[in-house]
Amino acid sequence: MDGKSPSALLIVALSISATIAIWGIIDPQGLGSLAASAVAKQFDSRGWFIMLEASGLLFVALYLAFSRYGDIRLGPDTAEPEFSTPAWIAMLFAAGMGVGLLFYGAAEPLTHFEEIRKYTGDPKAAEYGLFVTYLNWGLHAWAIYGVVGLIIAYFAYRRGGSLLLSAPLTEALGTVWWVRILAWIFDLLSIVAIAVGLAGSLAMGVFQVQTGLAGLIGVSDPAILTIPVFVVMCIAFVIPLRRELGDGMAKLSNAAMMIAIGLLVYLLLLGPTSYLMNSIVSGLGRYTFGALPAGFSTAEFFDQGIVDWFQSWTLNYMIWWLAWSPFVGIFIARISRGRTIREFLIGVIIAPTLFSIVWFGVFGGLGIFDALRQEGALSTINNENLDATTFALLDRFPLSGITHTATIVAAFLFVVTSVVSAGFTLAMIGTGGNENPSPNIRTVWGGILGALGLAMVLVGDIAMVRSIIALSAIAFVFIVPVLVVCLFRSLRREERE
Amino acid sequence: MTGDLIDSILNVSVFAYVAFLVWLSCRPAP
Repeated sequence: MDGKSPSALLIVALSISATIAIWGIIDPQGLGSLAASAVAKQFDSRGWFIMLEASGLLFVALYLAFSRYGDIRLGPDTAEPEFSTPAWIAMLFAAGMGVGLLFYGAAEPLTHFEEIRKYTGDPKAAEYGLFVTYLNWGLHAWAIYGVVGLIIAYFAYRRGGSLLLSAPLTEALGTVWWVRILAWIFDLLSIVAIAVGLAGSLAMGVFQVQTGLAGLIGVSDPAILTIPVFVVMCIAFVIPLRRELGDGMAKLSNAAMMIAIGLLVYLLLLGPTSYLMNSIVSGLGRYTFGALPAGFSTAEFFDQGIVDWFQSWTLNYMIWWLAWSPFVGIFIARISRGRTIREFLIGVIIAPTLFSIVWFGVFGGLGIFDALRQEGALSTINNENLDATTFALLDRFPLSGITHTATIVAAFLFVVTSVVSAGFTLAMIGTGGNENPSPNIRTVWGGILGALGLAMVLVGDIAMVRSIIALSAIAFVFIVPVLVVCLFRSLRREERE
Repeated sequence: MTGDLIDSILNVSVFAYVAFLVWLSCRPAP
């Protein structure tokens, strides 16, 4: 068998993913602590390069958007965008929303606030708490997604290749033996990163849903709900994976997004609205003028507590975005055919960033409001269990039974729709770019995602789950710049043609 | 003041990677 054929890719990718899953199920603590120590070592030593790359990708995106290359269309010159601009932006929001925003909306700014207030006064800690959250979820994150998505879209729709990460390599560098090997490795690593990243997302969803459900039905220990919640989620994603990916999944994902936006508006209206609007506007200003320099920060001159905090949040996020960039990149490429590079980059980077600023401004602003103006009980809950923060926040508002249920439903839908979409994407990559992979291959991937998800759930600790995701994606730190070089080579060639 | 030697070599090898990127971008078109 040809070592680089898609079927070999499929077998090797399935084997690696299954091995990680089995390892995690047999010895979750062993896998978690190995990943945590390996990742800590990488972050200690290569943190500077990761931050440099995240900032570099933002500059690449700005350059491409505002240079002459910005006029190039992602498709033939006569191509028209498939979706209207509002529908396209709504889909970008959906791609960026995910379960992470529900999970971290209040928890993350509050965690940063609590950490920073050990070193400085409360007002500064509150400002930085929001600022760091914006830095982690804002322009840099979307520049990573945007550039990877742009590369995938350009080579698939403009140059007529496939939607795989190997397409830019073979198109821009030819098909000599070492390029073919590199291309094969890129596809393999993107499969592993997608599978592990989505399994982590599945685990996060399980933690969130079990905590919410425990509060709703009055169970004191949420951990006893872990397996039932996990099993229900698995059943919920295996059924649609066996069927054709139609409008159904998109509708469910939109429903989850509408619920999330509903929660946002509800909290904004019923909460201290002017306080929240003030915090959003001042946060926006600080972020707009501080994002570029902060993207280069490495916290090197601070004491170990701050360095550890920086590594476990900002650095981890940058790796996290890189881990999900093939998956989100393929999704945003598929919905962006026919747009120009300028439209694509401005839409992909600015719109979701603004949304994140409002989202964290409201959820995080409420958490900080509680810490500064009230008794600070949310911080205590947040210190004990990050999963519980969103629900504890909702408890402070009327109709908390309804908002709890809505959050659980939204988390559930976000996870199920992402896993279904990931199952399709993995099957597509594993079969060499076939956009309609067979139901059996999709089901096998669903099973692997479920097993990996179970491993992550058993690891139990969200920090370790994040380390496993980071470890699976660390290669992308070195893959993405190669893809950028391929893009520039092809853009220059297109200019000469 | 002295750091881990292997780690230092790995860090410096990032420059070799950057050199590889430059070489890739300068290769003649296929």
